[in-house]
Amino acid sequence: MIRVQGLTKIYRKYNAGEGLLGMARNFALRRYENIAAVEGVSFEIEAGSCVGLLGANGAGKTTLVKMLAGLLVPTSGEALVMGEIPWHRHNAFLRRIGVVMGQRQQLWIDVSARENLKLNQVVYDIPLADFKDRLKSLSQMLEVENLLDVQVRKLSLGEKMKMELCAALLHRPRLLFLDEPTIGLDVVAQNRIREFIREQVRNDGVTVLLTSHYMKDLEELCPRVFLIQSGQLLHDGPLSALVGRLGDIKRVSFTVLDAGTVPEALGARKGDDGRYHIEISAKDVSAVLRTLMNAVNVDDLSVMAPPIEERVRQIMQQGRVPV
Amino acid sequence: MASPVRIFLAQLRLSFASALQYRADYLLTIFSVAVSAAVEIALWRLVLKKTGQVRGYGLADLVAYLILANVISMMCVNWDSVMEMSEEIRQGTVSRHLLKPISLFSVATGDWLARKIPVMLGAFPVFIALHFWNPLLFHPHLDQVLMFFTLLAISLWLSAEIYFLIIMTAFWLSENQGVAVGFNVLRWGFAGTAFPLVFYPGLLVKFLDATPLPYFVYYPTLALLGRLPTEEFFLKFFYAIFIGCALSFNRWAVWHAAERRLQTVGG
Repeated sequence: MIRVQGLTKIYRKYNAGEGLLGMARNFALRRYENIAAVEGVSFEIEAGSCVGLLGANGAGKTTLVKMLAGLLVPTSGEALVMGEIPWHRHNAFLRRIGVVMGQRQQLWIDVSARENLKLNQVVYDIPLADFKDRLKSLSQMLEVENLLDVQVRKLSLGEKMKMELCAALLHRPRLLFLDEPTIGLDVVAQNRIREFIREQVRNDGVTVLLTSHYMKDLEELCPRVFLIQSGQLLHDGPLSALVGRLGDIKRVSFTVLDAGTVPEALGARKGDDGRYHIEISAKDVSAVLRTLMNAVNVDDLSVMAPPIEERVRQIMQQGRVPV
Repeated sequence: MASPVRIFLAQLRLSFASALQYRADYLLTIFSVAVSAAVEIALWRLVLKKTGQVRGYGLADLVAYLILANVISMMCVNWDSVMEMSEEIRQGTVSRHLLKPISLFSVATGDWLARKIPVMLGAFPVFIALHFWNPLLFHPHLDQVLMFFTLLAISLWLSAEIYFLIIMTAFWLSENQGVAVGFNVLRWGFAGTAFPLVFYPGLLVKFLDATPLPYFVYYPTLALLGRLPTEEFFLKFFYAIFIGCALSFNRWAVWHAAERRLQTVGG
């Protein structure tokens, strides 16, 4: 479905300069520098899979998605998406992809969603009966049947995103690029969209490339995850394998009855939630618990793996994946 | 496969629906054009009080000319959709058009024409009112009307090509509003909106004749006023086709260079 070899995109940027003098200097003499947004990325994705793209802000995820969707022309490297070079943007290619960008609206905001979708019906040459069926099923799945005639600008963020998904899937694309589709949405809307994406992959065999900062999106939807850092592909595999590279860590969280009795030697730190936390290797859990119970008067105690977000953030801050 | 015409009409329909949302904008545009025509007429009244005629135009001729020229100019001039689409390129939201199997030129032209349709619908009562105001000055025969519509279509075509080229400059100059403003000022002064081009020195008129500028307003207005002889119309028509084809080729070449420059860093 997607084959990428040594894909690189270099942008030219300049700094605006600090203060009035800096800005004046920049106006007269602009100094450009090259920034590698994506550097030598290679991978393959099979049809019908859902792959997650993970990385800090500015890591190059969106640039990669935009190259694969045909919006950006790479500086070097090759990519074949469904047998086509994406940035040639042949109509046959554009008809087989769907794109949703959480931070960029694709719909015309001054008219209703239905008017927008009618334009897509003509552009993608969808037979009228098929269009009606498809619109009915998509709007039912996303629970937006009653909102189709509302001006897009008057919809809430979550409703807009659902309409964007409707528009992106109306023409039954074989490949769907989702760039932060759940950004800024409440938990209910996030869950509904996740469920919807899962159905598209499972029932219709749509291939999905999903970018998200929410680990839950990636955990629930993507058996395979790419970690991108500074434009380079650092990890290609399951999210659990990525997190597992930090070792089998457990977090012991507890509260004590007598404040101030926690010995420093245990290495406990007090969190914002008022609980003490100790992070240790899984094999040391029983020994640490024994020491803890002997040393302090524990009121409440739990042992669990640290949240996946924290562990991924740790990897991102290190800028490398532990071997 | 959907025909390009069907896609264009659907696009036009959506743009039109979108344009209709801005009633105040539409009414203010018409008001501002009426005010500027009234000011021009008042100024020329003062000038012609002393001279009586300027290069074949008396006051009544000039009033008819200015009203028609302003209405025609309003039909062809484009500020808003150029600014909006340039901003879309700057902000990266142009991707919503680029990701669809539809040409950006078709989107830009559809958007612009859709904004102009209400103006065009509003223009025809002006033509009719002008005829009743002074039937001696404004009594177009069928051949004049045909010449007018032909030249108006050419004017729209040439305008679309040039405005698209201006929009494309946004791929190189992120702050390209100056180009659009510059062009619109140029067309106000040298397309015949402010006064008939024959008022300029002969050498300048000859130079302007070689450019697309008089085709925007001057020639369509002359045709409707019966001041454009048929032989001259055909010469101008074929020359305009030549200019239009050259502009179309440039538009195609510039677009292919421009699309490679799209830089949408950050989301």
